[in-house]
Amino acid sequence: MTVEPRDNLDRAIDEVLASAVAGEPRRVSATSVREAIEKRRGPRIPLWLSVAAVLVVGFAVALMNRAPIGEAPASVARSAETVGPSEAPSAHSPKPIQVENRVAGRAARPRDPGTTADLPYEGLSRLTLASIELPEPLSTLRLEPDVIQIPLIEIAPLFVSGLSIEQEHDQSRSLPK
Amino acid sequence: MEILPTSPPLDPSINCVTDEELVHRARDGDPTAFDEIVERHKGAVFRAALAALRNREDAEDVTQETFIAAFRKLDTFRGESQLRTWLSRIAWNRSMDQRRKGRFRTFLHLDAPDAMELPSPGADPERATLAASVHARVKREIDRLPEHLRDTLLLASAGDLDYASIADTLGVREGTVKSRVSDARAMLRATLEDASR
Repeated sequence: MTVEPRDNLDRAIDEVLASAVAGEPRRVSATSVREAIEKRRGPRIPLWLSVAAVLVVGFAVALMNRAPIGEAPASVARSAETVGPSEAPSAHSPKPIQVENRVAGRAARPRDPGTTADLPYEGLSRLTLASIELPEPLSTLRLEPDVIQIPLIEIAPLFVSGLSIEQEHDQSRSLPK
Repeated sequence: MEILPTSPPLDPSINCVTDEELVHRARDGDPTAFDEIVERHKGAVFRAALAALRNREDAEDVTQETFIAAFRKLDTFRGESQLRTWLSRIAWNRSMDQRRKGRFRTFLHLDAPDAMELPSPGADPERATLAASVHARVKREIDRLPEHLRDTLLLASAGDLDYASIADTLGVREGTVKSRVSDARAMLRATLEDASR
């Protein structure tokens, strides 16, 4: 192998280094970068606006769900009147079932409705179901049998529209009176 | 020698605008200002990525990603360093990430046949063959340099950044850059001289 002079070696090193990191990008341009930015750009709505929108929608949904609960006591009272027990509960009848609306998870245990005014939950909507008294023992004896009368059903004379008037008369005459 | 496309001539009115002014305009939403930033610095960014990755395709990808990231982070550019240095640092960091993750394509070794220069038609064939042989040896020895020396040497050889900017890009002191370049050259020279004897 031939011995290279020092300056030739330095020149060769410089040339190789220069060629190793020379050139321009072929694919990258202002247009390609702009297109890539546009393509990757997410929703144009700012983050705070999307968070606010989600909160508003969530609040609205919560309000919509809360509205029927506020009306619940009146409707429950009505239903209690209609389905209330017709006789005094027996000694074996189970305790009245009481369900309270657990608004925001505050009602941890059933409470006497009469004491609600004393509690810090005053003003919150409350769902109270009326007590259900079950007849003891369960039977169908309270149904009294009776004679079933079916009223007379009158059937209008049948006729076919395609028949002539004479035929219709004949038909009506032939019907039993 | 491979002929590469050059950037189209720029509008003189915007060509005279400083980088600082371009950044201000781009922040204010002027799309042509950012276009000018891309066209002005894409070569330097590409060569910085090429110094790190030594593969043109990967360097192109990193260049594109660098400008997309720069567009998003333009508000964070404080002007404490030059725009070119800031862009080169983004490109370098992305290249290092890519190198660490091993996602880059096969290294184009500097002694690969497609990286070699062909002798010009009019040159003496014997001298041309000799020069090609020397170049092949130099490329091979550059490839064998320790990574930190090779990276610094290639980044300095790109010619787009001064030592201070290279130091800023690599996150080292300027004196470290100078000593690395000097050490790398000395190591190359010594190895090649030994091989020539």
